[in-house]
Amino acid sequence: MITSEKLKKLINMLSRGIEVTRSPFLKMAETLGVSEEEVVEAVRVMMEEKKIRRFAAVLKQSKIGYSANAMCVFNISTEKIEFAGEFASSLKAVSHCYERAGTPSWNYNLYAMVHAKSKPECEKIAETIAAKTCALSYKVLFSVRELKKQNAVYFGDKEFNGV
Amino acid sequence: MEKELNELEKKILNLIQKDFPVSARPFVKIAEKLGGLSEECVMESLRSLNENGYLRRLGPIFNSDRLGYVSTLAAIAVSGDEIEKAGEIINSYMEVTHNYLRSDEKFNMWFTLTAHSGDRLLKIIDEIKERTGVSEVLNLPVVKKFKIKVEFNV
Repeated sequence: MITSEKLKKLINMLSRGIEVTRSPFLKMAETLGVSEEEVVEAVRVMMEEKKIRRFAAVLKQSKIGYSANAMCVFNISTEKIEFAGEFASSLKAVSHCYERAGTPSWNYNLYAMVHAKSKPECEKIAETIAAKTCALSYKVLFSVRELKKQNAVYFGDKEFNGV
Repeated sequence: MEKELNELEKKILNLIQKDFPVSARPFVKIAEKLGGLSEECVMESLRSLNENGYLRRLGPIFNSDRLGYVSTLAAIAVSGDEIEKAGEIINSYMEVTHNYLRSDEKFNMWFTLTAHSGDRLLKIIDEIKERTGVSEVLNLPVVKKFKIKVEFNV
């Protein structure tokens, strides 16, 4: 088992993704001074512990025909929020669904990321969710411009010395 | 016209979106799963998919809260030439992972934050509020996760 300090470094390296090479974990193992098998084992353990939710490829939606995506927000009554979350999550077009704390100036508590082939299709899906869950109000927020899209980088050097 | 995906590319993409074999030689395992292709052929196909911009990322998707991190969704209302400036300020934080302009008539800049502590996260939000001069930063933490599943059948 690798030390917790080395595990943090491994997580930092892994958070940048892996390359398409014959042995994608080899360089990381060499950097940490451990065996490839120990790195693979550490990844498996993190998957069992749910520190890693999944080890998979993420595609660029726009390239495979899902060019419209919208963050749909709903104001759902407290007694219906559970049902609403389950229903929205049951739709294939919904990739992420959360309950979030609403605020006085933004009183929406259910968030669903909807992906579809067109904007009208996104709106239709949001409308279906709103109707089915008796939403008091809802909004469909299309992304107008991507200003930053990057993966979280954990245990980066800056954090080690608490900057 | 967009380069169409061939059958092999579709098979590979559908497979590796669901579960990527975690092993020292993963592309050998993928080749085996796809009916005895060669490792080289799988890697070649993946490289071309990467070059053609189909792959956003290949690797572990971490659960930030299981690593002791704290994250939230935040939003501000900015207009006109404030937008560029506010975007730069927000993007300058390593802990800001996504930042989008969205089509709300008021709260139009939406960003996600993942920080190594709750204090650090609140400190960043306060700094952003001060530096951008907005009157309010919406801080909308997750209360419950119903679904996280980013998979698109090709």
